[in-house]
Amino acid sequence: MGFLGRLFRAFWLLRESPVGMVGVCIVLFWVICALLADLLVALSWIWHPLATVEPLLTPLSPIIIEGGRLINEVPVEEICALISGGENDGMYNCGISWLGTDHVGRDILSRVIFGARTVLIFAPLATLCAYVVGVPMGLIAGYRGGWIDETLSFIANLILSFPVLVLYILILTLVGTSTYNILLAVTFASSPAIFRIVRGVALDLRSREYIAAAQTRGESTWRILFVELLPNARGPLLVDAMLRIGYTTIQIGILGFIGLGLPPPTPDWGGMVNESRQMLIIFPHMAIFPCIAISTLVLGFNLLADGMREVSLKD
Amino acid sequence: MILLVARRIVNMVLLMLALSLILFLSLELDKDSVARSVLGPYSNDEARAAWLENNGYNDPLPLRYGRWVGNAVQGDFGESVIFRTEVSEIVWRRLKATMALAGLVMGIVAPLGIALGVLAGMREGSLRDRFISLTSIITTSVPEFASAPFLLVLFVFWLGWLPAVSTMADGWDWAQIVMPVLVLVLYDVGYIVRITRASMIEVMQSHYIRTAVLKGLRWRTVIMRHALRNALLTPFTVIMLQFNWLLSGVIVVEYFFAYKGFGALLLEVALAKDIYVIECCAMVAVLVAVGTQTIGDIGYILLNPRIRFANS
Repeated sequence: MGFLGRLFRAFWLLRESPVGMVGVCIVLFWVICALLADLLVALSWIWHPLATVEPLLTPLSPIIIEGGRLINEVPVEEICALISGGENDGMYNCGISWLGTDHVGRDILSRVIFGARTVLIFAPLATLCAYVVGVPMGLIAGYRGGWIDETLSFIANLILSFPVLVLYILILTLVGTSTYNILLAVTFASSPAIFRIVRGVALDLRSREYIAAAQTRGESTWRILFVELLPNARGPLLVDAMLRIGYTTIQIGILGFIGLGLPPPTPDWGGMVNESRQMLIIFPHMAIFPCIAISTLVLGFNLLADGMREVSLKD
Repeated sequence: MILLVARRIVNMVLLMLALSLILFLSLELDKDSVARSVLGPYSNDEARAAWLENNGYNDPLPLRYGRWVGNAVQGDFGESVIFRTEVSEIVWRRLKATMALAGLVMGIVAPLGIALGVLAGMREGSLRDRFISLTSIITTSVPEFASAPFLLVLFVFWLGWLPAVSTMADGWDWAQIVMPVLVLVLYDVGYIVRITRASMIEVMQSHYIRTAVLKGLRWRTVIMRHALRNALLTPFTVIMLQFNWLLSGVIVVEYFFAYKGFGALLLEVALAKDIYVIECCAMVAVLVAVGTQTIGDIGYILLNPRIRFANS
């Protein structure tokens, strides 16, 4: 059974944990939202996230659209009753702006759904990048020890002794905010933590017999690291990965919130909260829905991690 | 133990030097933006170059860095570009505000988190345990920038109990501090609950607790006298590490509530590339990180008889 097989098994085992299953369901809900976002637009169930409808609509406002343009300030419900089935059917559409619109007139529902896509691309991708950097370093430091370990550990401590968010701000103000730079900053800031976990596991395992056996067989160092050592670290790493994706989601949200996030037109939950912060007193819906979205997604990942920990303890 | 502290201090000095050098080098890449933030976006190139020249930004890097370190050791961190005051003065003023906030948060989070964690971990799987665990996982999942609008709408706009901003313009005001503290407590408490709970569960499964229960001790005695002592070791270390996290969390909250603290200062100066203030803030951050970690480790040694007696 390869590494991927073991990975799937870890998820499969989750079905025994109700908490984990709730987490899976929440995450899946957002994944499906992200995947189907374009389809929903194509079916004109939601607007395009950049299309402007009518600014400052409250949730559940009935609206009539005439060829993509919105007619307002008419007795909407009565007209809608006339339209449906009448001769103008098709030319006019009746609908409801479920979650209202923001100050520019973009539909909140569609921006929340498209925001799920943004966050579900960037958070796992950034976490993956951090793993790609942190895992090999942790393995080699734990396995070899000596000056490699000392140097890498010092660098890791250097980065970890600094508040994460400050680190992000400094990196991003230095290199500018763009999608690549956010990935870079997240990788830079979270790989030391991964390094520490992997190093600990490698340090613990390197004196085991099967490693000695592999060394005697004349296996290459890389093979020992990735085939013999790494699979044994999968338990803590998987749990950490789930927690970390959730945490990275928060971090990306915070970056959007303080204005260092993804460039503006991108639907980004943190950015949405920031943009509507000033109007919170009159139009709370603009900030509240993205807040609910990000909180549920993070909750999903946290429950998933919890379930995995529970299952791996039973295992 | 003296060895531990000495090693930590050496390590901290190394960290500070490395970090300050990196920050200095990072500024080197984009000196122009410093001048731009002072002289405004429409200043011409000559004016900016002259400003940089006059303020000593064009001296060779080793010289400037050496000068900065020399002054910093004596407590002189230079002058802030955007605030036009002594760096140490503005950082100290803001740090005091944040210490008040962080102190309040920690004063609530630590006892509350430990109490809830112990209550939950006492009987694993009980209804109370499930309720506390679920609540704590939910509160940790709501980031500060999401819970702040929720609470703002609820307590400020609907109920009208509290002021919306915490600028502290007319001196210290308890009403203004409630919202920032509440947001930070909600986010941080869950983590401590979970750590305490895990630690408590582990202790409750140990043989000596079983013995204590079996020999007929009162449940209260078992928990208070036998279980708590060992169960609180890990949370103590975690709480000390939590200070470092708090420094990140404080940025969001201070920005949201316009609280004039260290976090807001950091955000401001990082955006304006006010290098001397950034350097000073970074040194403070390292000091907090290493300091709390060291206190945590010393406390762990003092509290843990296994290590305490092994050493002596």
